[in-house]
Amino acid sequence: MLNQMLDKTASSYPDNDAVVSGESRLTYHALRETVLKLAGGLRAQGVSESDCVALVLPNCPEFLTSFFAISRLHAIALLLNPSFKESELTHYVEDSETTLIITDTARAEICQALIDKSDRQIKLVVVGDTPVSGVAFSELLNHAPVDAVSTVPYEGTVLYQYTSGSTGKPKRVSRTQVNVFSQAKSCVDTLGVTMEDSIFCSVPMYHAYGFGECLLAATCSGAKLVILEPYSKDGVVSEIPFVFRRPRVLELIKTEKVSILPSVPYVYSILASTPPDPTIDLSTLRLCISAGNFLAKDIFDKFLLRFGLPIRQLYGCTEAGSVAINMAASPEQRFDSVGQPMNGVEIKVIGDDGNEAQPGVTGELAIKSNTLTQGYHDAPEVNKEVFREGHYFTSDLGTKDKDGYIFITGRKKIFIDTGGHKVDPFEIENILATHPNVKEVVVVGTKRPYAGEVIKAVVVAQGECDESSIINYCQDKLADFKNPRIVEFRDEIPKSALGKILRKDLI
Amino acid sequence: MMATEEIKSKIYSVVLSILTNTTEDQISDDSDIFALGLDSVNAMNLIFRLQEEFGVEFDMGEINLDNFRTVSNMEELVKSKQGV
Repeated sequence: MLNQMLDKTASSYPDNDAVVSGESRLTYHALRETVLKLAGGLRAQGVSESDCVALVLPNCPEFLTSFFAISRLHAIALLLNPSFKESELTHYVEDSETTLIITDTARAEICQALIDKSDRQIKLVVVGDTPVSGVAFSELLNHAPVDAVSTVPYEGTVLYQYTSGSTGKPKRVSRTQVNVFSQAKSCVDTLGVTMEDSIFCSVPMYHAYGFGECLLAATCSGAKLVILEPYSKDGVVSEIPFVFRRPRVLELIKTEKVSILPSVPYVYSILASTPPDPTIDLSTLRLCISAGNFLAKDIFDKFLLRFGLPIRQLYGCTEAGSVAINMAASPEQRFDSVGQPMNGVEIKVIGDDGNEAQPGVTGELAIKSNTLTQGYHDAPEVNKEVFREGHYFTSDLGTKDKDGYIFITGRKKIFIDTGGHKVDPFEIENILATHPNVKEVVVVGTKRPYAGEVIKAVVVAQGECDESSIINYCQDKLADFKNPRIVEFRDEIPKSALGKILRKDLI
Repeated sequence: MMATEEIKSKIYSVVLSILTNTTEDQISDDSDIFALGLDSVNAMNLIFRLQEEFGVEFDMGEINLDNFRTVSNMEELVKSKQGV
């Protein structure tokens, strides 16, 4: 189905820019041609139907071409956070039985290391000049393209993503081409995306949000996808805090006539604090979307005041992609609503009695949609709990008003919001619990000004244990954004009379 | 108008209050604070705290990597804003 989707877009708008990143600019015709050649190259590497190919890539044109080439072969793309450490990547690659990894030169070494330790044969493809290991991505493009004739739409699995749950153990979500195509259609129809739009990709495409509102929205409609190229100085690429990329972001919005900006509250807070500058021109922007975390009123107000644009909250999950957005004519009146269900999506608020709650009454949000996964891999107990009667029970708590606008009020599960990332404290606790000098540990997020939390580990130690020992232990096993920034030692963890950890007392 | 040493001392104080895992002996005038763990959340805090501390407002063009990479870079920026 995704093959037909790309073919249709490429034939309808062959000369439209599909993806722009730095000096690189691909039209839809060129994108499709590249996809067909890459599919030929991947096939020559042994990739065939139902094989899993891991993408360990930042946002880049090769992310798009790889995804559609994998889809073309009826294989499965596993989308992974490129900042994962070796131990995290190893877990996902082994669990999904990945047969080939596509990464870039910055991450080639770590990927090669995990391949060397694996009992299985895993191939490596590297984006960038003269990779020291693996096959060069550019080499795969020298292969004959696969047959471009679209036959019967393929409806099998095309996507693996991992999501954390209350156990802290990431679970594999698989979604079919029907699910993903339905998500693309739902997004384009609800947001009114057309070939005249230009979408700025400031959120990672390995995440459900960036994958849906950027990659799928553009390729389904013929819109242009504008990628913020990595920061590079003297040929060395490095990651730098977003605030230092702000001038480049504003320049791209102006020069590429960006009309849709899917982003996160943190980025909007930085943009809203932009000092006055007459050269800034955001007049092409028509839709500013926020997701990933609750949008604070002061950010909404500051952005509206600074740029005259309301930020519209979107709600989604890895299991179904985006499912609701606030498209109200005057979102100022209920800025804190994630709006109404997107096209083809049903969202119910289920009360404690198991029935649909009345307007204004809080309950658990349950989603029904063609975009929804069938369940988690190898997790029958969890599946029985959260996938019931055709609905996915999200663990998100919320209400609906009388007009059907949804308000998220909390979560049954806890996440820490740090620098635009959602971090599951249980994942860090599970790692630290294996530290030989940690008797007990609780991880919490402490609020910091300017939109964010800092991860704090509260530790009850046994024997000699200091802050650096705790941080170093995590550095080897967790992506940098998950590392605790504060370590607090206590004699005991505060608990209620029933033994429940009093997390609020640790913040 | 602040003396150079006072400016530097205040910058150190702000940086160390933000980089909570860094101690005084781990940082010098020319240490790369990004290498010391200045992440996205902390970067915003650093900019705002420096503005508050010195009563200045950085222009958009001034908020770049080169002006904030080291204590020396920040000192130069603050001095130029204060006309020192």
